[in-house]
Amino acid sequence: MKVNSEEPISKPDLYVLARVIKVLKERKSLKRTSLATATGMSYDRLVKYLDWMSDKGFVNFNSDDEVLLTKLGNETYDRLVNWILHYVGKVRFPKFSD
Amino acid sequence: MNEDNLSSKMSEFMTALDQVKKYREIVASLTDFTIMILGTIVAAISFNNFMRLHSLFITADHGQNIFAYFLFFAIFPAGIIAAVWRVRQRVKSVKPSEWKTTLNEGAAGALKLIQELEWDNIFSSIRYAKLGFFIYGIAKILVYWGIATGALYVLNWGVQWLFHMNMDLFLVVALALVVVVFLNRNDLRKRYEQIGRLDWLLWELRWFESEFRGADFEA
Repeated sequence: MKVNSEEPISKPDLYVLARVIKVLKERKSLKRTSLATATGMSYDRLVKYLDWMSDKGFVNFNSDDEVLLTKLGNETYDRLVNWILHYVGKVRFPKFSD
Repeated sequence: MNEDNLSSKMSEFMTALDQVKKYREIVASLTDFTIMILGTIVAAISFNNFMRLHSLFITADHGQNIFAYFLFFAIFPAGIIAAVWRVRQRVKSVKPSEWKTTLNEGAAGALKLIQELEWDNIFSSIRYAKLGFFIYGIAKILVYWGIATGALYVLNWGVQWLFHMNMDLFLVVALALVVVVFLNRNDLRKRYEQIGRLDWLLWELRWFESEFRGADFEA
């Protein structure tokens, strides 16, 4: 099922995207209201993100209208982790003593 | 597993920034430190002047004189201890690891922490931290030098009284500096190394900031 919203998001906040995926990874399937509570987002904002994520194929909806994470969504999260690690991992932090 | 690696790397990242905040606080507390040291000197001079004035009108016995001398010399260590304590308290007031809850969110938390970093502020903090580390080190040496000079002066006075041997004042001051530098050699080495590490951190973070800013994640 596709969610309609007035102003679709063009470029998502990666932090929000990661949170939504993380919650779905842990909880498997959730109603939109529960997902909004779990991610600490407003319902309207979440709906816009779900719309965008659904377009990209990261989530889909089951017959009970619950949100499910797709394989692609799962892989995207892993890619995101690797992407951050690619940059953070290259930084060599000195050890400071007190 | 990669998420664990990310959390561990981000922990290193944020711990290094916590340390910078602590060093930055040293710079901020230098004003307090200077005021307290100057206050101590003013208090000691005022006390000395008061005692001189007092002696014009009232003749103190031997015991009272010794007590007055003790008070005069106690002002310096008391002031110095208070000033160093003040710096330490301010550094301790920096709360470390406040980012741990955010980092528990995994990649999302890591992203949030990176997004919220104020890079200009971080770079300026590192520069100030370097300066603060250097100035605080010099200030500590100067203060210890003052104490050592005072102590050696008293010792010299005792030796002169007992054995009628006198050491030149210039020698007393120079010897005090040598003693202080020798006793603080580890602290000086540590300070030099920390400044080098701060430089290293500055370069690493500059690289990260420019790379990450230009990067774009294709979802």
